Amino acid sequence: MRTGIIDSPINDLWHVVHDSGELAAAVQNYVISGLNGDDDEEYELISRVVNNYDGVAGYKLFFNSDQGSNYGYQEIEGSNTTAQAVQGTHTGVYLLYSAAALGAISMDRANIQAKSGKVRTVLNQTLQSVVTTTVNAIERWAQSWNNTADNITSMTIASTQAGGIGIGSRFILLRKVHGTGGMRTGLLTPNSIKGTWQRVVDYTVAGAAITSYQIPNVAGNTYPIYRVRIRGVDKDTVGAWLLRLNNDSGATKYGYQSLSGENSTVAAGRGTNSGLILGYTGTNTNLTLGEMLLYLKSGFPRTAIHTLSYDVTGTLVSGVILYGGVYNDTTNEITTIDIVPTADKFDIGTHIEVDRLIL
Amino acid sequence: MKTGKLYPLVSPVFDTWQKLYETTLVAAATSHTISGLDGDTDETWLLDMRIVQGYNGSTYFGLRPNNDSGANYGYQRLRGGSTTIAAVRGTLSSLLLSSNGGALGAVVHIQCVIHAKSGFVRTAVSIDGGPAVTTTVDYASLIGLSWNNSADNITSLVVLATEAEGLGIGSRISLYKKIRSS
Repeated sequence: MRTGIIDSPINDLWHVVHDSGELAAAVQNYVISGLNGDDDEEYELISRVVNNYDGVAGYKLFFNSDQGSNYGYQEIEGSNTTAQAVQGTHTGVYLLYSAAALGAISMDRANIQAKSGKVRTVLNQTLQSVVTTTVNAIERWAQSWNNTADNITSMTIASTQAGGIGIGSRFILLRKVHGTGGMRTGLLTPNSIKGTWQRVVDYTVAGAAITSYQIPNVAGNTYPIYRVRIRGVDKDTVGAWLLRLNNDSGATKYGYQSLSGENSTVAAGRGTNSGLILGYTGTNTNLTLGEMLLYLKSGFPRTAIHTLSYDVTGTLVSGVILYGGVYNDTTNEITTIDIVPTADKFDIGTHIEVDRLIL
Repeated sequence: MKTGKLYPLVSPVFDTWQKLYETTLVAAATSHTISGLDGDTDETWLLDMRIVQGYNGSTYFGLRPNNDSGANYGYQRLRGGSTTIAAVRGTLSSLLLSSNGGALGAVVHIQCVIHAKSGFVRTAVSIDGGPAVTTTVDYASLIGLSWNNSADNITSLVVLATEAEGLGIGSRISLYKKIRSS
């Protein structure tokens, strides 16, 4: 059955259940209601906050109305050259944080196990407080809500400061669509499915190594959320596998904060580069596996959260890195995304997948 | 076109990700097998798990493609526990998804991206958190993984615990694959 654009959930696909759009006015709290966590079981929350407070502002997520000390956390963090771990309890799930700067951008990606019956858990990664090309910190969290009984019917993102969630902030909540209910259909061939991930690139290098790859048909102001995944095969020592927006190769246009583990060494680092770092290989034929979530809409610096493993060969995984990245251009719509090697080429077998969220 | 929830009996013809497999364990198990897979066609999988510990004590949870139990897996882990952050590298007899010293009933949350297609060493990146008991979360990790087999199509994945019945009742395993418009 051919259809036009389907704007309803489809079984076994993830679907956007709430999109705040970019907020037109600052608020202290943002509420997402009408949820059914026991039915949905899992959520993914993508958050991008603009700090509207001229100072430090924290942002937490709480379920239903629970602001008690019923949340636990374990965090690892890289800030400049400091790597650290912290554990404790809180009055909400730690979501975002802004160091003292009006207009600083933070971004978070959270997977929430929502079904009652067990302690609820959250895995999230936070890009903390970006100003131009400086990323204050990158964080990986594992968190819990010590309530096994109640169905989750609402989520609230709350700032520690009045009006702290500024104009341009955005919250997108996806849910897992599943179960046996719904209108049964035969084969569907939709033109598009609103509210779901659409894969726009599924490309494998074949025939000969390549010197770059351009993701086609990018419209960053129409589709602001992209997810890029790469399994890279090194040809003659690539170094960093860079992702460039609008073909901008300016050496100081992209900032990053990293947290890495290599063998028994933990390190954190901050700096600028001529692209966002999607992967890394330092030896011919080695592999890298990277995944990046991007917020592309103009109006603010463009931000990214990424993870990667690098220099994989046989049973050797040389390292893992958690990155927070920024592209310091607020004006231009993103219309091209290029993946380029720092040196040499992407070898045959390099595989690139790109999804965009249809909002 | 707005409708109610749609339940197509076959996969839509669309380029997206669809749940391929999901189960919630009704009995504790030492391992759970997802069979009937085709890694060479699917190429990439996304694995989501909420494990309830069925063993009271140190357990590690792993994943074996094609039930390969040889020492053919590498890992690099970056992990924080309390105020300690540490990195470690090694080899194991499965893809390491989580290791900890949790209690019976503790919850471990895992997400893993797996590049499954043969032709190269198979790679994966996993994040995990837990075990979580009330408001105590023991660890948060980022793990890079490899399976040193470039030849075989992956036709099954075995989720395993190193302790008997370590996958407790209520553990949920979900696997997503790409579906295509052509």
